[in-house]
Amino acid sequence: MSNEPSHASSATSPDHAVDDEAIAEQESAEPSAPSTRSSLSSDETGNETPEDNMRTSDDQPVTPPVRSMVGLLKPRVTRAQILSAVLLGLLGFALVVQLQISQQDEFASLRQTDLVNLLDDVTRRNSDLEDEIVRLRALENELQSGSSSQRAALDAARQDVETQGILSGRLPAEGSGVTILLTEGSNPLPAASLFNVLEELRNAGAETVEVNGIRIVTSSYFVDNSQGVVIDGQVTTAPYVWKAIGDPKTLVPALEIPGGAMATVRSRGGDASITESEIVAIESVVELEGLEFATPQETQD
Amino acid sequence: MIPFIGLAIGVIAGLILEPTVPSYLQPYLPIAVVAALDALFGGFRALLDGLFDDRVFLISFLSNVVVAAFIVFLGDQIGVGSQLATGVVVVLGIRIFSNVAAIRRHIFKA
Repeated sequence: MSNEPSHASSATSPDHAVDDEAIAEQESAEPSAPSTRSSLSSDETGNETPEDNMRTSDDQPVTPPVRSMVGLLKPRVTRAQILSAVLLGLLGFALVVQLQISQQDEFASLRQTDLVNLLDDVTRRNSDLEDEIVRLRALENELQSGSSSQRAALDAARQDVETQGILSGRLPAEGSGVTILLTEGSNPLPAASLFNVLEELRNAGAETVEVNGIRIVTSSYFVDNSQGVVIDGQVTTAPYVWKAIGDPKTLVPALEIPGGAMATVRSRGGDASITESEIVAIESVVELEGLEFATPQETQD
Repeated sequence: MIPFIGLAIGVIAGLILEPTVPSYLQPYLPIAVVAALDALFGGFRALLDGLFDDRVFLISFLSNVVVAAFIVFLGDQIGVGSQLATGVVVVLGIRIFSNVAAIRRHIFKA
């Protein structure tokens, strides 16, 4: 490396200056009283030659550094060695202690300002996160209320569909009601009589009506026919079995009213009987055709 | 030999005793350790140069440690502690490198 000599030559730091002083001191000291190490080195020159030769190349003369190292490795109780031992012991102790501190807690070796900065960071991040929590909570509430109102609308629509389906005859229905059995005598029952019964039922609040398995809706009609009665295009004959869902306590008196529907049937020689039931099941349905002319009125909000 | 025994004793003592360093000393201990390392390598280099003197080693060791810790302490007082600590570590690191380079030249002749 090219910069190494410059390193060595540019030794201007205090410690090198101290070292230089040491040279001066030692050089001045040597003539009068040789230092322990230099005398030690000269002692060893004779004894240690084989070992030195093992350590260095054979041609080279034994250099002072190697002799110093050998002297360092020799357990001689000198002031320098004991002092070095004490200082190295201190260093090792401090090093181990510092290593333990560093491993125990990453914050232990930080200074106060760093810790304050760290705390600030954490606090700021905390408040940021709290803001985000508030924001997300609000969003959650919004979404929940939105979905609940949507669900309510959906429930209402579903219930509407059922109600409308039953009223329009599109869905089967069951509930409390009456079953009416009409038989005819010698004279056949005219369509008008049947229509009369239906009117009475409707007036009394019957919600769903069926005759001989034919669902009666708003557009149903009764027409006299040579074989019997045509209801909504289907021919049917006596006995007529009516099923009506409604309040039996209202339906029965309405039908049995003097001069009413039942009385008319009996006056024509027929027989009429009414049975109240907790559950009247009406299975028959009608196919709805789409509306041709009417469309929903546009709601104005 | 004896210095290495001393080092071993210090390490073992540190491992066994596990002393708790007072919190006001904790920022200065790593700096002091680096300064002591610098003094150690300086002393080793002087030894190889044939200039080792125990008195100089003792004084440079202690003064290195004290001055390094004092600089950082001063920095802490005037609010530039972490920057000064970095500076001290850089300077000591450069010195350790140059000392090690000199030691290497002595040992490996390269």
